[in-house]
Amino acid sequence: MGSAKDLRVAPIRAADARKIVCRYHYSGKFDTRSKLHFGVFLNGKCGGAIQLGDPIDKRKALVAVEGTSWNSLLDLHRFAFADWLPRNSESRALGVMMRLIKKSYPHIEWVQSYADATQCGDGTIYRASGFDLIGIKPNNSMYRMPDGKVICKIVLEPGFHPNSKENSVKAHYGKTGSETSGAFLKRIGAKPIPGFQLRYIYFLNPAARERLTVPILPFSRIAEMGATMYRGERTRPKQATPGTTSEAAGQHRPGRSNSQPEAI
Amino acid sequence: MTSVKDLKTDHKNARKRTDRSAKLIAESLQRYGAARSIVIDENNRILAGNGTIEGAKAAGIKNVRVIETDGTEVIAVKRIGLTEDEKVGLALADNRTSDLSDWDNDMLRQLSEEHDVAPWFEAEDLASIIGDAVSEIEMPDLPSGDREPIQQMTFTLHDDQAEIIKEAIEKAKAIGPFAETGNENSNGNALARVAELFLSWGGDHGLS
Repeated sequence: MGSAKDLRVAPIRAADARKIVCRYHYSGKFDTRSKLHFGVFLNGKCGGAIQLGDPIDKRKALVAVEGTSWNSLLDLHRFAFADWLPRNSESRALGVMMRLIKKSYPHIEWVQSYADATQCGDGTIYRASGFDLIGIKPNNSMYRMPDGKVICKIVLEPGFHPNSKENSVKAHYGKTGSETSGAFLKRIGAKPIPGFQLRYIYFLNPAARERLTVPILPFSRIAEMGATMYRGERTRPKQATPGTTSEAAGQHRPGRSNSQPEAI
Repeated sequence: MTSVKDLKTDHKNARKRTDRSAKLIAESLQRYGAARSIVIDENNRILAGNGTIEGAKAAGIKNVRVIETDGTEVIAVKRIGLTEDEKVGLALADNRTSDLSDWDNDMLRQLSEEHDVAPWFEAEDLASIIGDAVSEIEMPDLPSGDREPIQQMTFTLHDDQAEIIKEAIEKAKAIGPFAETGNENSNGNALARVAELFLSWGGDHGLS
């Protein structure tokens, strides 16, 4: 079968990555903004994909690290892994991927990602992979639609057309005209999903950490704020050695896809 | 009676023996004799039981008793003369040798492309066995340095307002060529011209 150490991580075509993400990501959706796609291979078989690109709001994102130039950050949009990949594949693949990025794109100083603790997880894998936690805030953007599907409010905003017209969420739910997304969601009976969004950052350039403009939060803050979630379930914090992550402490297996809030 | 030599290996067999499973099939046949039936077609092509025949050859079994059927009845092989230990051993060997065999990924992929393999293999089952057909590529180029000084802005307009904007853009274009704006988008240049004109009127209209 092989272990996580046998994994190979390599760039793949967008179409291939999208296919894998659609199959294995909890949202079932890919992010059209992604511009860098990695496949995760074991014994020649591809069982996972990682997608990166620009953050939704790049201007706001880059101020987290002073002096970050426009193209010096990446947002980890999706990672999705098949269940047959071995334990700890996620952290192993992220580690290999970071080394590839660092080698190929020396101008990239840091990578950020969001964990969606409204419906997926609080970022166990990020913590196990050397990311720092720099933000926890209530997530008011996720809504359960009357048909049971979950969407991020941003897809209803003006100018957000990630998919073709036929496939767009706006067209699907019939949002037209100038009605605000909030008013539209209320009118059709969509229900907000309470929860949190956690922001993580990984420094490819260690010197960039010194320019961080926001404090690094202790992982214990997640439990203090009641933001813990694992595989879509609210979890009660376990007794863990300070400074260790739950994965590092061997408490449970990380999820098979990341918890980036779905943008499409 | 047919000779095992007359049977033809299935050219579309997606299952392959590992060294261990092949060895154990032969071992089972030597210990317990033949029991499991195989399936062949009218042309002696082995549809199920390729491994059994390989094992039978290795075990020195030469003959095959063929029972023709159209599928409307079950053919049972009544194996006699086994002790209880041998019955248990035979049953375990039958299941275990199957477990220890493996898929021929290339053949399975080919069959899934050429034939409908559902419901025996759903897309996810196939992916877990043969993986997705994914090719590695070179690391793509990513932009470096600072951003291009170009951006897109989006507004929501009433239809009437949209018509006004369109008319204003056309009139702004009609004024003449745009100076070096650093922007190749003519609509953008025209809209900026409209805004510049509006702002230039600011003092007269009490705007600051």
